[in-house]
Amino acid sequence: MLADYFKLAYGTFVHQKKRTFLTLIGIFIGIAAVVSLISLGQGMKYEIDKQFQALGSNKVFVQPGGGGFDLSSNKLTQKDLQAVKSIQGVDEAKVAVFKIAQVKFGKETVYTWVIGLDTGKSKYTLSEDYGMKVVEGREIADSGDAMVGYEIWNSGLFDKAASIGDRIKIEGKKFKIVGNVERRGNPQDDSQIEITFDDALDAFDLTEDDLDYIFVTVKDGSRPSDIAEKIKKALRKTRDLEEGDEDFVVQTSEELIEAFGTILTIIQIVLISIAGISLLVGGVNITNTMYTSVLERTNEIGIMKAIGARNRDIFLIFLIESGILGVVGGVIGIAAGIGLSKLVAFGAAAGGYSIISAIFPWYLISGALAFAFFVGALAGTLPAIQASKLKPVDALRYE
Amino acid sequence: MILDYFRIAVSNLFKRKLRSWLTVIGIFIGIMAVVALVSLSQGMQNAILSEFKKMGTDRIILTPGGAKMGPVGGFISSVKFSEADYDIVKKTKGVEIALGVYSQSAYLTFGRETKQQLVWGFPTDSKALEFYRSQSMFDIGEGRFLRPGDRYKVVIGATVANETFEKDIHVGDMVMINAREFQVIGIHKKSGGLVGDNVIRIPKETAREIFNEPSEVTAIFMKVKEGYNVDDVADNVKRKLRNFRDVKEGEEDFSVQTSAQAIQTFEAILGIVQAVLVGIAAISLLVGGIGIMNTMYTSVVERTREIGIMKSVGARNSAILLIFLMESGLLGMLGGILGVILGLGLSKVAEIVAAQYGIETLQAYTGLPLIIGALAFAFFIGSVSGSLPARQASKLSPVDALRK
Repeated sequence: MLADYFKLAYGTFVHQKKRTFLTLIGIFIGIAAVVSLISLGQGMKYEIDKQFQALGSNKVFVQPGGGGFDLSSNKLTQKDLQAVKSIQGVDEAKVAVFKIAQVKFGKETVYTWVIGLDTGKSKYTLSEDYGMKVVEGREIADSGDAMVGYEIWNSGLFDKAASIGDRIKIEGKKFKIVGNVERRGNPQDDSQIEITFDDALDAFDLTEDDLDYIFVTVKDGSRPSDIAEKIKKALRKTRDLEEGDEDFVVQTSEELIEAFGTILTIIQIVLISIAGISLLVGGVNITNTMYTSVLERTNEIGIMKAIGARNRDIFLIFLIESGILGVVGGVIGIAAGIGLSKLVAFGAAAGGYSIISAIFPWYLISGALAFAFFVGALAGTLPAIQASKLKPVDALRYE
Repeated sequence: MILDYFRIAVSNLFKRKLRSWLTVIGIFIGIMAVVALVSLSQGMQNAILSEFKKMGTDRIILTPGGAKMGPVGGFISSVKFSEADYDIVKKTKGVEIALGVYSQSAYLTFGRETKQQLVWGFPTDSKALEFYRSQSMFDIGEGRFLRPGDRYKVVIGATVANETFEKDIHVGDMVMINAREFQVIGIHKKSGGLVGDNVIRIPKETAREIFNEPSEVTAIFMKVKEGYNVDDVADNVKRKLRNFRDVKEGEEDFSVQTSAQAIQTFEAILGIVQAVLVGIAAISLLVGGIGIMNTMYTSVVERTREIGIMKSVGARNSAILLIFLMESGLLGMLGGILGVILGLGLSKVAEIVAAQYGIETLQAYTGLPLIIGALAFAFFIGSVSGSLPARQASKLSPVDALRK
């Protein structure tokens, strides 16, 4: 019985090829846009999550000011560091200073972020402490050592690619490249240079009380969020501040991921809802096509009813027809969306933004397909009801 | 003659009311989305640009750090300017006035509350003061501005006075900056801008004292003398400073930006955002256009016999083509009118809602170019989507059409 309905629907499509094709295009464009936007958004989220996971979920980050690369020249001090270190449950606390500095390589001069990392005695590697994984060479350890980001060891920042053993000058001081840091996927992070903390203080004329960041590793068995609370309390005390007036930010890696996730989700919602408008229009097109179809087949409906078709049968015939329009549009749309997002990801990677990647989780594909069917069926409901309610006598008489 | 075609087209649209409406809805939704997005982003751009222009287009801003860093260079770069650099700039030909400011983040205490804020040390010599008087961004709403000889006096923006602390700050109140007492002598007029209303200005000499910084200069603002070309003066400053700091061309450890360049940078960024949003919204217009094409093909099929009759009584191909083109153009136009009205309404609503939340830069632009452009575009989409079906209709041979 159901198979017969499908056969009927197929017959209509073949009969009205051009109209079916145009209606399909309407749906497929919308689905393609939505699928590619979701795919790219989820891909980016996935890449960011991956980077944080590499850093470990047992981290707490302490920064002065309002967070991010804050403009305030507010700093953390050794007193703050000692206070953090003495908290029970803190395994290790490592500091960092950031500056944009003049960097010379060969004959070229650029200005880029240079980071001073604490290379003192530690149970952990720099990669575990700071999440900067060396893919070639070794980590910085002594004065004069430098690690460089992808844009430097693979050209991009400088015309010539730098390699291990090359010399660079930072603020006029000589450094030797000892390690290449793994690609992070965006040109700003990938243009960073890491040197030892003491070298950084020296090169930038800073004191030990000019800290920009404290990376805290939490002991096994302690909850990072508890430690974060304790750090806040301790720093309020050393900095003599009341609750609510903090001039520093303490975040666990989970909170950091969440903060990124929230921003990304908002952007995604805006873009997808704008793209979703085209799906709405595609749905209206289906409604239109179905009304036309009902009108053209009024006689046919009359005959079917005259020989015993119930209202339900007529309703189903038309609903299945519009549902199929939606699903087929969805299938083509998904395929096109996958292609489109792959293309965008490829282009972005070529421009240095490998963080923009396309992923296609099963829920995206099945969700898009279900949604396309839903749009088709919903758009077809009114015309199908109209068809099913036609009186056989009137329908047969219709010209 | 044309009027007759028009009448035929209109009566056809009325004959299939439901279909016409659904087709119009398809176009109107897309136009509405595009109009609303363009209106809001254009309005926002205008609001911000007018703030830029209020400052004047004869300005140059000089910050330490490489060219890529832009206006925040003074805070994050390892390179710093000193008073010596400031002297060089001041003496450059074509510079009417140069203001070397020093800025630091500090603790601002009022009553029992303490907040961290950026504090700006401004020169208070008489030449600088004369300049401030000519600038709307230095307009005082209450009290007075800094004057020569002032020490430990502070002028604050409207937001700092009314929103930063639980209690409002008034002229004459005492506040603490890094635990030093300052008297509030003036409150700036509310400008509606984010930066302008959040400023805290103290005399530069006092800033040097409380921050214990004898010579550092965070940024230098310049006004170009009348009759001089802004770009030429910027180049002069660049060259003199290169010589003084002993750096080669292309390797400057500072950046010089004219107000025109700042506006360009800003416009470019907003332009990209606008293009992405409108581009995605325009997809629905494409889909709406396909809807028109579909409706028109159906219409041609339904009226094959009618076309045959018209042709056999002497209608030329061009007449048939025109009738159908008009019909689809009307569909587009109608969708366009509805879309423009609702789109502008939508952006007005957004503007009002944003204003409730204190966001004054989100304004709806309702200029004629947008309205006319959207209508023309809607008509264009209608005719383009109708052109294939119309051609098909016009090429029908009368005999075949009549036999159908």
